[in-house]
Amino acid sequence: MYYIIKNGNQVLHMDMAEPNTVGTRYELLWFDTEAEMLQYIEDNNLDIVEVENEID
Amino acid sequence: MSGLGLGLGLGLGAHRKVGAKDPGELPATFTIAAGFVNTGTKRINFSEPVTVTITGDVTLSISGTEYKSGDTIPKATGQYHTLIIDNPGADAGTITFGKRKQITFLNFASLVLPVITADITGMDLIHLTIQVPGITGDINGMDLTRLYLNNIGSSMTYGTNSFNITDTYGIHLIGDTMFSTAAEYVRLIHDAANGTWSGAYPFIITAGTNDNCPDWDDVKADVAMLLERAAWTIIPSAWLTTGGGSWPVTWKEYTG
Repeated sequence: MYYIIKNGNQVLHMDMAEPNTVGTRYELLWFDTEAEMLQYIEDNNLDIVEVENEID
Repeated sequence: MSGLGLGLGLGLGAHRKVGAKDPGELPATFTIAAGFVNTGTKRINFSEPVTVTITGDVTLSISGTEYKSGDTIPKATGQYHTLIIDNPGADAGTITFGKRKQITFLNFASLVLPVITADITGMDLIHLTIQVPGITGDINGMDLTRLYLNNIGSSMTYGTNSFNITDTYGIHLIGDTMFSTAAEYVRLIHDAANGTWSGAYPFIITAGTNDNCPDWDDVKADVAMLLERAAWTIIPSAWLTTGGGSWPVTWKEYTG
């Protein structure tokens, strides 16, 4: 499933994982599809602040 | 008298134990495959200037300066040196950067074949990023600000380390990276939970099996602390009771 880790209106992290494998002190939202996840981000005007896309 | 002295001396010598050499005193040697053409990320730093030793046809450049065997490489003024390495020879060659204990920063990534091999055991690292299948060793006695291991299988072991996580990547064990024993994960989780985390940084383990699942009772107190410190924590599904492990599916709600 797809998930978002959210702090206020900021998306700290989004990825795929199996249910119950993610724990966080922030808000955790699950989605069945990537499209649903992206739609949620758009509908709620969330800022994606995630920086870990490639190794630096 | 001299006969007595000789006998005593031989007796003591025969019982003298020779301990294993401190791995930090061993040479920090990187073996470069024949025909290697510079590619991938290769970053390094030292605690002090090091003498480089090069064998074979390997060439080494840093910031446009070519270093020959016997030259001294200064400590980088920034976080690291970026290495340009080639080996046009028909045989493997080596680069040795002083002693392992002099290596403080190691970031070798984006190499999918074991074209560079090395043993990190004994390095005094504060930054460890490895995405190169040929680099092996024991992660032990380090004071790490970042631990990032990607697709290196079980080529490394985990001892005991301290963490002062200041890097956005935090702790990543991803791809097929896996420690062989549950005890290593117990120590890793304990070290991470008792470390300092200066920002919203993650603790991620993506690969794991029932065989190396740390027993929930051994780690639950540390997991509760880790959930407070790491911004998010990801564990393998094989560790959950639903996957054959010992962690309850409510592990992320455990507060001790």
